[in-house]
Amino acid sequence: MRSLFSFCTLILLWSCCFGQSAPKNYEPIRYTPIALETLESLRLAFEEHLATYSFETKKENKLATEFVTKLHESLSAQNERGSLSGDDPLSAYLQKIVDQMVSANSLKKDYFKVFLSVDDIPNAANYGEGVIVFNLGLLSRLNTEGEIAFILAHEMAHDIKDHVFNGIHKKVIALESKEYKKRVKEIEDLEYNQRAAALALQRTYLSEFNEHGRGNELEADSLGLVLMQKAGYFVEDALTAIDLLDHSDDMPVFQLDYPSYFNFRNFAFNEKWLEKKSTINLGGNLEQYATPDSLKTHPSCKARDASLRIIGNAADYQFDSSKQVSYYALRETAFAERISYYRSTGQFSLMLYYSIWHSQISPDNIFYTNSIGNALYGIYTAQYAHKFSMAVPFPNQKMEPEYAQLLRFFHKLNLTNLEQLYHAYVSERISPAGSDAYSDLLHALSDAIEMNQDPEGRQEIIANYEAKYGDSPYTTYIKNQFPEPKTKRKK
Amino acid sequence: MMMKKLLFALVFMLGSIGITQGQNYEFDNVERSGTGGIRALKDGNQVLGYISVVKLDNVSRKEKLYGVTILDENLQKTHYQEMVVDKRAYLVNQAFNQNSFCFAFMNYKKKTIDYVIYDLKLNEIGRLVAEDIHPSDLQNGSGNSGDDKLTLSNLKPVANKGYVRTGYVKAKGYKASVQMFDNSGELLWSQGTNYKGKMYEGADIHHVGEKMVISSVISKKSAFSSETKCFIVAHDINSGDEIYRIETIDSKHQMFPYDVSYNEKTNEFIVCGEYYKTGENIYKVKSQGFFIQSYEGKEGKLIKSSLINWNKDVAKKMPSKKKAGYKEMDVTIHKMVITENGKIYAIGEQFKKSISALGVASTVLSRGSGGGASSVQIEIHDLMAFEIDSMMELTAVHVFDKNVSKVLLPQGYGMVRGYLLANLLKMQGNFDHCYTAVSPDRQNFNAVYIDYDRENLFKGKYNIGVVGLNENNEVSSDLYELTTKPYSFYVCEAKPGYVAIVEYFKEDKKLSVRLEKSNIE
Repeated sequence: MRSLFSFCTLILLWSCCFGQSAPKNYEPIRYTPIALETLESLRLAFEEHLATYSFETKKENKLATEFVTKLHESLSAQNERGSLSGDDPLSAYLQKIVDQMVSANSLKKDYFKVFLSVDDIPNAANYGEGVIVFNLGLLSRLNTEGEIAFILAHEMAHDIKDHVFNGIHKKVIALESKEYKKRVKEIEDLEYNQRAAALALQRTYLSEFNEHGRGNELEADSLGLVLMQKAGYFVEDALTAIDLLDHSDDMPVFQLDYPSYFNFRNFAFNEKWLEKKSTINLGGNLEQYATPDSLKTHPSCKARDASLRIIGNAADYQFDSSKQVSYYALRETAFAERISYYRSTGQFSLMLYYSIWHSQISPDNIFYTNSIGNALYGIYTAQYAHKFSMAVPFPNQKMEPEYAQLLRFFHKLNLTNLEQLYHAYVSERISPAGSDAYSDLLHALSDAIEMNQDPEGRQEIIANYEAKYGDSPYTTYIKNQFPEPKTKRKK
Repeated sequence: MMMKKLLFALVFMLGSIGITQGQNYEFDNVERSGTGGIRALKDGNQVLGYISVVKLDNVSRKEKLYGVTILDENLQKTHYQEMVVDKRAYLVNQAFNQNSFCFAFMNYKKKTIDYVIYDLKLNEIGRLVAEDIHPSDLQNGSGNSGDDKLTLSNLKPVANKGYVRTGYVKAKGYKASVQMFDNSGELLWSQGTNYKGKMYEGADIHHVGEKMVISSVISKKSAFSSETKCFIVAHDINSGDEIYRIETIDSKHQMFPYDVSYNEKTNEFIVCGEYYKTGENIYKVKSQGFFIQSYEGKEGKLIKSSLINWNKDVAKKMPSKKKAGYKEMDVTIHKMVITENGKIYAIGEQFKKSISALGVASTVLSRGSGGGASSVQIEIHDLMAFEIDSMMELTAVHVFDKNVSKVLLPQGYGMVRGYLLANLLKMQGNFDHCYTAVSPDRQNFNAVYIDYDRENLFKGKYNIGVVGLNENNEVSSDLYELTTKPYSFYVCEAKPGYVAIVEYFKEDKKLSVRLEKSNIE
């Protein structure tokens, strides 16, 4: 119900503010990884920061260094995967919001650095030393600039309160304590029931760390609220952000009219494909294994909401529409990037579902029309390569029913159906060849599929595409789809 | 060092956690895994889900802790339960009857099988401790250091009511019985042969319906006798009374059933297997061919019998490319399916004996004193699908290319051939055929096999082949190539149109199962 409400609100906002101004075409961002010098200077900064903490023993110092090294390694690993970016329109926008809050709160200039993580998990994190990593998955789920400001302010507050390094210090002291080591030794000496004893010890310490962590979260909420309010944002933005976090797993709710998307002259939609088969109930007992509150790292959203309501003064809230306008263009960029992310990670059923959703909101936006085609191509090729499981999961009861229905539909189609569907979609829905790079890509892919027995013909199609569009992301994509055949060396 | 390892483990890990990703399910921290790490949970022809049993800890000198995870047919986790079981007990079978789960734990020390019954929340509700185990079952498992390899096929569910199993009584040989127990583990009935003399029997349950249980029984008068008789036996599901016992012979031949398939629609069952001339030593000669017999289900009257001879009938229908060398091959039938239109498909595999250079070398080096292996090896060749019409006439033979797999025979088996050899290879899991499943609506089937170069593990390609019917009802095939590089892999039965691929990644200590749709076009 709540998600339906959110969806309706969103539709309203979209149609009011930028329904007609959505870009008709879109080229995905080419992310540039963070420079290695920047990462190296961060490593030194982390080490210097750690040096401000005193440890009594060498072992404590060594363990703390290991924790900090792991922290830095996780950033480096994300960067190596190509999922971290600090030089793109989205991270520039996030940095601008941070800079506004720095200025409004008279904080140290140029200290905070925001990186965008091209990841669908709705999360943001502070790494200490002013480093904030904001996931695309969270950005594309937020509705207003104020909500983004709250998340950023919350992470800035973690940094200001030095929660990351404080947490490392506390963990090291606890793990190197005589009492803890004694208990670990006792467990190691046990001949039987080692696991149960280890889990009990783990629970005790996790519970203690998490209790401390939950305190930090509430503190970051409260300081974050102050930071954002001083920059002109409102407590309501914080409250809606918390509410969105609570429902971050919800998918958009909409009616999918299957014949209008999947019925063509050369591909007749069959109602049987939507039939739900009955399954035998195996029962279940997982409810007893739900994570207890003491083992959760964050307080519940309900508790955070209540706390913010007490701290903030919601009475003078005024919606600043002027602030939102600049955001909406970037929000669409975030949506489009999320769709591109699903393509790059092979999650084609999600790519399709979100593209259909957006195409209903912006029917004249050809990016979404093309993305539907691209997703159909991805599902077909996944099945061709026996990798369907990566592209289209099985439906389950926890899923949004409409999405589950879409998955069920694709599970019923065989390889021939999928190929026919793709060709039919391209020929009837995609703009004629020569219109734009994305449409041409889909036509080229359609032609290339038909040249199954002619690898040279395929390479010609790719060469023609490259000649027309140069070194574009789509050129890279089509080249990856049909790599040049390896030629055997002559003896 | 250990201390630090544990310390980090405590901080960063939560033990063995499974995660569903798309159509994958992954188990972390799996130290080792054999071919039973993940098993299919079935009810008749239908795959209902999967079960994984992992040893977590030792809880006392005599007991260990198992973590049991159940996934549904789409790999969604439904259950997790930790169970304390005897240290020498290993899961050997599992079943679900819509009211309860039954896990069979074989205890090698006590020489018992504990059939433990659980409700739908995995709370124990009953237990039957069976002491009547066939010695070969104990022998097969006793040398097994792993806890997940052995599977006994002697447990079948009876919808909502309980389970049936086979038992063996040691009295003048070994006499087989078929038994039924309810959801509380109470034995409802147990029926075996009335023969009082010396007899060695083996039994296999093939069909459990609303009215009867159909099993096959093989018997011989002494352990080393080549005179063997085979029977198809039907028991009343409610009372256990024997309804009929049919010996599978005709005036000139003796038949050895491999598979019995029941058609509930027509109330007929079809038996298939290999046949020999009466008096032939079934352990030393190649069989004459394979047979198909259909019986009326109520009284067990023979309706029709068909003998398909390897040299006369099959050879004629062999694809021309595959005719060369065919006569040197033995063929075993793995499974037979009857589709809704009355057609029968028998899935077989070719194999032959050859001399192993490695076996000869080790025999020479050990100066003939033996060292476990003989100098004879078995080559496993192509998969075959025999297409038989509703009149039981062989209409086509399809052969599917595979790499040749080689298996060194245990010493003493150099002279063995035919039925016994095929059974030995099946028991040891040496064939590439993994399973043949028929869809619940009987409109299609999937015969699944693996194909890889066993002598060059990790270097060659790992392939999974699927044989089934395409949209035009023609026998067709599909080949998957694994693009991952697991330490080991195997396939499990899955719902129609899918194959469950189980992969073990030793370095990451990860056991993964995923479902892939096949492309039979």
